[in-house]
Amino acid sequence: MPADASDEQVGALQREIDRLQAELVRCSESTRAAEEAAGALRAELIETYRALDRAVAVEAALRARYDRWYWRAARRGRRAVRRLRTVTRRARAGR
Amino acid sequence: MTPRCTVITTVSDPDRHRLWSCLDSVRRQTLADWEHVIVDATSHPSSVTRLLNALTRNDERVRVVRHARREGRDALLTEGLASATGEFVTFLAEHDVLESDALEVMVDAVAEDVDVAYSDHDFIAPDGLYVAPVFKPDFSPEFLRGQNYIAGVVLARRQLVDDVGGFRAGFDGAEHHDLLLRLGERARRVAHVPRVLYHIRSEPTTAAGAPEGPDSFASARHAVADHCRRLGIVATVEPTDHEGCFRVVRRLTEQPTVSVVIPTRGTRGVVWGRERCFVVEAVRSLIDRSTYPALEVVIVYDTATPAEVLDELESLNERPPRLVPFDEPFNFSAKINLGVVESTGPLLLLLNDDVEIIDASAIEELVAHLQGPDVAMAGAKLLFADGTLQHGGHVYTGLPEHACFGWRGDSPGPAPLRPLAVARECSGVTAGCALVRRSAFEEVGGFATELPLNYNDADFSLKLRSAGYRIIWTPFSTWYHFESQSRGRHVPGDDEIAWMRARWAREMRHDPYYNPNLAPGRNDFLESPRARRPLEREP
Repeated sequence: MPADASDEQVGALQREIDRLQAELVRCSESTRAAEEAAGALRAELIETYRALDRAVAVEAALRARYDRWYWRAARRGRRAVRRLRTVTRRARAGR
Repeated sequence: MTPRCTVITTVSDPDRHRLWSCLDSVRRQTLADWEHVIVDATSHPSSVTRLLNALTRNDERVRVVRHARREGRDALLTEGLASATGEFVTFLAEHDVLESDALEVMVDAVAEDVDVAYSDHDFIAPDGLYVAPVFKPDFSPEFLRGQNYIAGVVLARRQLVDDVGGFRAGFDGAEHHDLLLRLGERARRVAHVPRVLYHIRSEPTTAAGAPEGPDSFASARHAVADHCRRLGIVATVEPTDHEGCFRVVRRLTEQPTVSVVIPTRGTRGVVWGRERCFVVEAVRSLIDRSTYPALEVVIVYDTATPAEVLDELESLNERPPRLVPFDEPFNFSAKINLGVVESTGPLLLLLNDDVEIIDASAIEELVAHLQGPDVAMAGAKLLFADGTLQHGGHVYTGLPEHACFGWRGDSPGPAPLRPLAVARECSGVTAGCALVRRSAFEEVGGFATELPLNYNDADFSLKLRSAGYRIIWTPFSTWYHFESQSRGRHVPGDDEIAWMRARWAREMRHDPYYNPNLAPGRNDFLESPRARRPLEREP
């Protein structure tokens, strides 16, 4: 500030500084609110990913169980077919 | 010869089919010597009574005790206990189900010096599927004060149950929590079997299931308050925002000097759109917001720290912080050790320079936990500038991780265990904000200077734990930590990883306050795919 500034000029500058200061606080508060909103979204994303990972794990376990069931059923089926063939063969042979 | 195990079930108003599942699950037990004591308090003779009669006729191991009077569940359980002849007892609710080898596995887990053992459990959904497994930590007394995380199969020596007074009246709906607290006080050792051996037929609203009656949370709170009184903990027990979870607010019997040690380089950065000098704002927040009366601040600064930062620090208060220069190459551990040497208080608050206190009573909360003689360190809940979680205690599943990193700051953590809702034991906490007992710090030799940047806090935590101390993390001491969020995902040097693995190979893989059924390499308590049995239902 110039050394010969009048009281009026000093007052005006002081008011301007106060206004800018208030503006800065407002900006800081809105920045904080925006960051917190973004943080909440990021956190939601993280929890969504966890839920997804969990679903994938459940699906993998379901598939493994289905596979076990399927192969067990297939083995039973093959055994049944073999038995049927044997019975049929014996029947045809008259035994 | 295996000891006899008595299963006690109280029957008051059961669904017949669900009761049958429960009774049948005991009948299928693989343990050689068991007995099932059923306390029948059904109001009218009914099909349930006929079912129980048929069961006792066919199996002499099943005994039914008639209880005509309508009394509280504690009276029924006490009557069951009186009829038990086993060396060990366990309790099974009328609609819950045991795994067929539950008793055998639990009896195997009981060694000479183990008085109580508990297993993991899950819940039975209305369609019969087993859901929401609760994979628990090993015995954590502080966690048990916060909520009944144990539930499930609890096998206890009959003698100890009698010694602690069995079940008590006045704790309706929280009889088991009350008993567990008393068993935990007196047991020589409490073992944990990390296997789902118990299925609870209830909504998984809390770790122990849905509340058993309108006043069960009030009863649990009463039980925890009573437990604190017995242990000489001067405290009040307050409910939290999360039902069934409590906060034990300890009263400080004394206020010893807390030496706040802050290593810094006088770094500046932008927080919420405004530039700040981190260390100045950290100290300012302590002066302006903390209500703790006896603080001594020691700042260990690199010689490259700008002079105006030091000037500002000195002008902050009539009792300016003590400034200690550090003129060696950067080494966080060495700076902490130097700060501790230069400080005088019996308690040390290790702080990063980019933190800011949120709760006015954050330091009191940490000091309160260190009133326990075997607690050497207490860690705080640290939040990023955007309100998400930076630190919820360490978990060691390969490498040190922050539990639930990046979750919402007010999240209780994954249900139904909710590890972020209450104070609990953990294997380690970050040195970003941790209160340590000076004697313990000196006993384990302070921070390892071989780890100048990463993992020095994990190493320090593990040293404390191997010296027999407990470490508590509390969500009731909250601070901001303006660390770069990307830093949590950064890759530490191979030499640091190798050093940690060489020293703590086993501890890095087996965190007693996590669970082997949880997926390795994660921090969010997600169960391992191998631990899931999604299609299984009750027989």
